[in-house]
Amino acid sequence: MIKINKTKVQDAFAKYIFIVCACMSIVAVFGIIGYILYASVPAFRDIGVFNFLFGTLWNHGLEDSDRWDITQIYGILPMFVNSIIVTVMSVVIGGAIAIFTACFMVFWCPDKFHLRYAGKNKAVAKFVAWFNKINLRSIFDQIIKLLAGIPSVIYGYFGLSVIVPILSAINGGNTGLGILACSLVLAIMILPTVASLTKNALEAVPEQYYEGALALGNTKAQAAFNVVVPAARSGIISALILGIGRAVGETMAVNMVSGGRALFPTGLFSFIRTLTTNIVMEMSEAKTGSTLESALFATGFVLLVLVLLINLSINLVPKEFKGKRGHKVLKGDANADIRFVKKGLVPEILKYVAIACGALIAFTLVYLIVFILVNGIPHITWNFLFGESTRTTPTLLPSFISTGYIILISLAIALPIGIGAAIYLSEYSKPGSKVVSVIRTFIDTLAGIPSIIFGLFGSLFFAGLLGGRCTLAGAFTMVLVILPTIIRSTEESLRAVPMSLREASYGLGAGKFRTIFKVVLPNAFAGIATATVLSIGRIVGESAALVYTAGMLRTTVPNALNPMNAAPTLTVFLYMCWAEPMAANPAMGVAEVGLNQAYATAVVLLVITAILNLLVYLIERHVKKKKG
Amino acid sequence: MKKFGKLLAIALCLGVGTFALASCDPASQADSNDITVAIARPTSSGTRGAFDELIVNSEGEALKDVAQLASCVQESGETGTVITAVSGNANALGYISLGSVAGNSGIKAIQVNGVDATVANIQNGSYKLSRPFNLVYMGDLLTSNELAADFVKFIESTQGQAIINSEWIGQESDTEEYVADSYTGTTTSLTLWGSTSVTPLMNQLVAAYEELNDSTTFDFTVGGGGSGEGETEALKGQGAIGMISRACEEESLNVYKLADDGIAVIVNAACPLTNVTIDQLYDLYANGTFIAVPGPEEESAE
Repeated sequence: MIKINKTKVQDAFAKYIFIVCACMSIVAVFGIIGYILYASVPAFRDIGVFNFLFGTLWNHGLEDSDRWDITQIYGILPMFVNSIIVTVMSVVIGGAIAIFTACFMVFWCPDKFHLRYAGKNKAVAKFVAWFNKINLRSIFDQIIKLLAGIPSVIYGYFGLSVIVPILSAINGGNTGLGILACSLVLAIMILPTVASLTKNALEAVPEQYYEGALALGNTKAQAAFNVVVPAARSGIISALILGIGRAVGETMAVNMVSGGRALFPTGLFSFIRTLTTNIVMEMSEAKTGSTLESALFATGFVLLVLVLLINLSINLVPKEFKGKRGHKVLKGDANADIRFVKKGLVPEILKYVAIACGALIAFTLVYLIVFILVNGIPHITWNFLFGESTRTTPTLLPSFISTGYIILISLAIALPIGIGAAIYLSEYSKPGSKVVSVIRTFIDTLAGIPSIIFGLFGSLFFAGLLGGRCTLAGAFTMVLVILPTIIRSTEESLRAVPMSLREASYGLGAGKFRTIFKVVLPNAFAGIATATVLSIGRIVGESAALVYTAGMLRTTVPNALNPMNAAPTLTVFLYMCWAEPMAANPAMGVAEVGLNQAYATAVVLLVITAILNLLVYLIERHVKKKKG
Repeated sequence: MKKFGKLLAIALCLGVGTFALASCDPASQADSNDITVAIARPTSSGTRGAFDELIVNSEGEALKDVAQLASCVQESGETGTVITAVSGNANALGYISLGSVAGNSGIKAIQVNGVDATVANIQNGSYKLSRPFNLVYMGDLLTSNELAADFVKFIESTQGQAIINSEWIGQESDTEEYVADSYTGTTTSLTLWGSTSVTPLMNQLVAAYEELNDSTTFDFTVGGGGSGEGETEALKGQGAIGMISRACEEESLNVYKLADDGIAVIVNAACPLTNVTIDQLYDLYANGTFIAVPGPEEESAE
């Protein structure tokens, strides 16, 4: 009797814990919106909402002037317009390339090399055989994933040292910074997201569409561009919207190539300031409680609202082939949207564009990696990596320590909550329940919030709670950032566990709680491991959310060992090499030394990113093999 | 092979198209040596505030009354980014703390109104661009905190003033030698937070102080992103000292004047420009009037 009761109590108790975990993301979203709104109220009150939103001048220096009053000098309209323009340009450039790349990956990427070797040298023959075994598709997949995993600050450096000089040459020796540079850097950054989602959408289109089109006499290119791409349009639109959300919220890389002026753009090379960069440009100069500080939080609030609207608009896109790949959706005439175009040169040309885009991306990645390795490896020394860090000769050791702390602490908090939430969503919820769809919307919303907003919230809430910026505050902030990744990935793998396993467990008399922990979770281990690795990647690459929480300063090893002290993570250190370069040897230029340190740090980050990607790949391969 | 040819043709078309589009931009072509880009700090920066107040043209108009600087002005968040930007662009001009100029091979400080930016010229008043470096704190921190008190004693000593006077302007009064290992207090940690312009000086002072007292292990935190952060940190009343590169705006804070600092006007090391007038600076920042620089090639042509 007692035993049965215990199981029942356990089950009921566990259910409520899982519900609480699932509701954490709702609490987080409301907490972030509430806190940032609260911090921006003084600005809205003093400046006036209308003046703030539609004012065209942003000049803190005029606050003491007699000729200007406070309602006139904090206007964000130029920043808002710049954000929109940069986003649109980057999505047009990056989105187009990404869609063509996805088409290349799905339709034209060769499986393998087909080299032939007729000679007699056994070593060469062996090499050729090995070379021919390489799976090109999977390599291209990895290229896209690697591009997605590279920290955004590295793209900033790439923009600064490669894109800006090219643009400067085009601009006749004038500056290359500004709106075009921002758009190009952002285009590269959103490319992997849009490309991989578009690829998923294309692969979700039923094969009959493609085969049917071929059977009707279309060429491969015609079938691809006239039938499959239009059929996958809802997925492509969703991918583009996600890309827009990412572009609007990107901060650090844009800040490095923007030029920083709160002006309406007049040409491709005008200096601009976006909503996100306005916050990083002035936050460190703003006094607590000043109108400026509040106006910056209000800028963050406007950005937050903008991003929420963009992300919610995804729900308006009809979901045609979302779900399982190859799933049949052909029901009646309304959905069968096959457009047969008799003949045409356009698809044939588009085919070459797609191939060119695929080649361009592979080239960009290779160039980026080679560029960083060539510039960084000569400056990597044992002392720079693990030497004693002082104020004048900073090393990476404190950053390794603080990055490690943040990874450990935030995973220790986020994994239990995330797994709990995933268990609720996959094991307890009823399909089609309203509660679940609300929770899922909030998880997606949390995932779409730009990291600078997390940074603002963390600096208000966690840093405020802990009495200042410290590694611990950074770790707590990162919990919110990685939570959606963990929930999604775990939930997916829980759903993949066959129902029969659960039924067998129940049949043997196990309770629900016991079934989940003894049967379901161990079988979903790979998904949880993937989530963990992805989260580590996110933490390693994060900068904007950590600058105002874990801090941006040079520190010593003993200081960094205490998580209550501020210390920069690796990526924040990389950003500092540009923002506050420090020369150990006064005979060398500060800027050059900073750049050298930056490339060396970038190499370390690239290696970490590559290892994490390899881990994900190995886990996925392991799962595939297990399934047979 | 046929396919490859097509591919090549398309790639070529794309490339030419992009280049043609990009080069159609109406931006004027700059002469190779002219100053066409000016770099300022954000309006909330202490250095920007001081510079805008000091740049007054011959008609008495100050830069601080200009609501919106010219469109050729770029804004850089921190001292370091101004250096990076100027050392990477031969047509750029910017301004930073004089103490941050030393040891940067990519940039050089130029004369303003024909006067070199040196410590001596600031002291005798001939170099006009200077502003104070202040330490701000709550209550009587500089006397009640053992370490802070001893550190101030070091700042006022011969050794401390020697560091300050190398690139900044210290106190004029006679100074005493700071006795090595004279710190006996129990407090070992101190936070000095704020302006990026003050940080280089403070780092040197702290390093020298730690060296003199090498029997004690100290835990100094020196950093920050701006003067505003310095005031914020000091206002928390948790024993931090704020570093600000302008006059203190907060009445509840006490001020200790650390030094006077020159604002150096810098250009790329490769730029032949050696002197600007304050009127030229005003016109560049306020109206976007490029500063013409006769290049060596032009001179030989004449």
